[in-house]
Amino acid sequence: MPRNILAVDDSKVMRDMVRIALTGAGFSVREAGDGIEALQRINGDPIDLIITDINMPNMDGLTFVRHVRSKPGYQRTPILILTTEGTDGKKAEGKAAGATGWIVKPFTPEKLLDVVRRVCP
Amino acid sequence: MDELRATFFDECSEYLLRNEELLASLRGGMGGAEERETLDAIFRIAHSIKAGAAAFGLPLLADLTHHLEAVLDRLRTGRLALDEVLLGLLLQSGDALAAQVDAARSGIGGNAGSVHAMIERLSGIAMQEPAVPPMPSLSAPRTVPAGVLRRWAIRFRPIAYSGGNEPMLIIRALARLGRLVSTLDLTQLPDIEQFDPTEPVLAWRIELETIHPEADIREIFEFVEDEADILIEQVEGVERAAAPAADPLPVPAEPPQRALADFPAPPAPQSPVHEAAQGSGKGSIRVDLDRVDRLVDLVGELIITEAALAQVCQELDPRAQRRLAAVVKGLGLHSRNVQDAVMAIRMQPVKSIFARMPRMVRDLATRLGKNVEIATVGEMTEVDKTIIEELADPLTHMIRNALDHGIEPPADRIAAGKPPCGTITLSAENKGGRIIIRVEDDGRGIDRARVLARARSLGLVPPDAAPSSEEVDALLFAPGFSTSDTVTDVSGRGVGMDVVQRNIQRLGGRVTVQSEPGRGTGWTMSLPLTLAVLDGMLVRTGGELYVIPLANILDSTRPKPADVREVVGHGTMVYLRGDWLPLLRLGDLFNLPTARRAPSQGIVVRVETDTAGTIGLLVDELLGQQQVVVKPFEQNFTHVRGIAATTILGNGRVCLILDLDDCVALSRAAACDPRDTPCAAGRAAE
Repeated sequence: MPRNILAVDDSKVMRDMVRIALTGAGFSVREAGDGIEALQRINGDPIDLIITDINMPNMDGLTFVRHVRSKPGYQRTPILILTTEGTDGKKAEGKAAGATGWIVKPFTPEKLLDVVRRVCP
Repeated sequence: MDELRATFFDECSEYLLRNEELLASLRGGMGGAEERETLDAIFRIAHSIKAGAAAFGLPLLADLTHHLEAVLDRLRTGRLALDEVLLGLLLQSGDALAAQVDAARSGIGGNAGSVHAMIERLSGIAMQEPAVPPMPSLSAPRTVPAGVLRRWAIRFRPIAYSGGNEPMLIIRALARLGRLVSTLDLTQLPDIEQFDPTEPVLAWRIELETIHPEADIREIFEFVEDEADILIEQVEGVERAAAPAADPLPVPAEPPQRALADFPAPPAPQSPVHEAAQGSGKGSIRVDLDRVDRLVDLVGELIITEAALAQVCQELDPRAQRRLAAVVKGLGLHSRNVQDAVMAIRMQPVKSIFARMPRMVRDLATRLGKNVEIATVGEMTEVDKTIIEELADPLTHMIRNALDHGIEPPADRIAAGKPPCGTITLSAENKGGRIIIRVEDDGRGIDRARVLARARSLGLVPPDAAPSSEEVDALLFAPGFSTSDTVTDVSGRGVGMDVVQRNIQRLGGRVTVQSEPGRGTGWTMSLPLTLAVLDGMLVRTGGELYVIPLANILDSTRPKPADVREVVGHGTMVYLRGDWLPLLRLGDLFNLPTARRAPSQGIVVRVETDTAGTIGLLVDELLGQQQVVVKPFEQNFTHVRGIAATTILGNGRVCLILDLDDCVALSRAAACDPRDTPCAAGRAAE
């Protein structure tokens, strides 16, 4: 049974990249365009890993992560934030919000897969 | 990959158009939160283009957006003030981006000189600030195996549990770098009395032989740096050129309690990237859902206008009417086709939600210690996107219910002479303009004695009442009803079947349950295919207009007085087409005193209902068949009994669309007055 990954990004291209890279490795990828849509997708759908952008309209990534962490059953779900500013500030902010780790954009499919494997069996 | 590239360029064009709009709106000078929001949006655009450009190996574009992003970031954080000059520069940089995107799309190099000039101007703006950090380069090799095999001693002791990092996964990641032996250190394990499950107590000693540099090892621990004691040391004297590691690792001093290298490793990746082929089919475009909805609305208006035209046509003199009628008919045909085509855009196969269920079933079954298979039928059945989205929750709930309450544990099943593995069947089909979705299990069925006892203790059924099996089953939909004594995390989530029913009703649907003791339970949801239009029959009763969904209508007739009888306990019965059917007077239902009461003076419409089978519905007169645009009640109305939605007729008049099953429920409730007694509620839910 493939692991379900939820890719949250307002850019279709980024979602496509995540999807293509991870589908090829046997994961099943769902997509959402912003935090609010992503929260809706989470309801009633078992998700094994969430990959989310930070800068998004409607609900930004960090707020989204905090919402996910406050949901019952999602305290230990791995969440990776996508960040371009590879600064420690953003990473720490993400960590504080409850993220498991981060992926610095731009990334190669191999790199993405590498990080995903580190947090999702 | 080419397809992905094309999508990227399309997306860039969209972004840049939007960018221009946003910049133009800034020109008016807005200030405050609105300006901040606009700047945020512009920043996101630059950010998205940059990420894509870097990924697609377009260094010029990436560099330009990188510097633009730096300026925008200063603007939105208030470190830089927006003025005419800067706005002009932002607009120009948008043009430069567009030119660069076009150049990249066509594969021609583009004007690197002008891009560099723009970059210089942008970085000039940010002069006072610390220099923009250079763009991280994608082309820089991620890891350069040094070619030298080194041995590392690693100590890893988590000191806090954090969001989702698992030591086992980290050790597996290390194992991918080389040869690894891990020893579990249990010395910190306290006595059972002092054991606090929220505190980590385990530590690992890891020996790793790898040609990867230290940075690669550290990278694996990067997410847990602040949550663990990590010590990474190179073990001296084992440095040598990379070669197949012939000699085995020395056996650790104490035997390892658990060698994690023995854990089943996840399967090796197949080709990590499946190029293209994943995207949408040939020649597809992405369309904003809002635009489709606007189109649906417009088609709705078109149909209303067409109905108005048809009405005007009726009022003309016969000669003009004949000529116009032919044209109106043609118009009707075309608008019908347009409507079908527009609706088809919104239609999606139910597969998208059905496909999520097997996994949930498997996970839950494992947790409950049950053996369950799920079968899906008709997953290509199409239904409106809105309905699909709303279906996921009720469906999940029903399946959880079937798993938790329906399917027995394997031992019980064998004792009952059934195969140990239970089956849940999920099916979808189109029927009479509606989609029927069923969740059936082959479990123990509804324990009616228990349901009834529970309902009595909750005061839902009077102690002396003896409800029928169907009425007992319907109690499952009563608000607050649950037979579970303990709340489980499987189905006792505080969301009952009443919520499921309400959600389905909101969509103009119905839920019913059928159960046979020992054989299983089936939940049936019946939903409209689309929420936007409906084929209806316009009827008049007591001066009011109503629409009966055409899908429910079999035929209509004016019965002879002899064919109508009052039957004690069954109300009025009418003999239609060789059958005695219960008669429902619409006028009585909605308290319309001027409505005709004698069936021989009105029209009896033979309608099919899900809950009461075929019944006769008495109305004053039929006005004609019409396609109506469904306008749901505004949010400040609650569920109005007997009414599914409203519509606007050609003459501008608002008219109510009947929900026949709810009408039946309403009449039964009225019959066993006083209203809203538990009995009525139970019957209403049938």
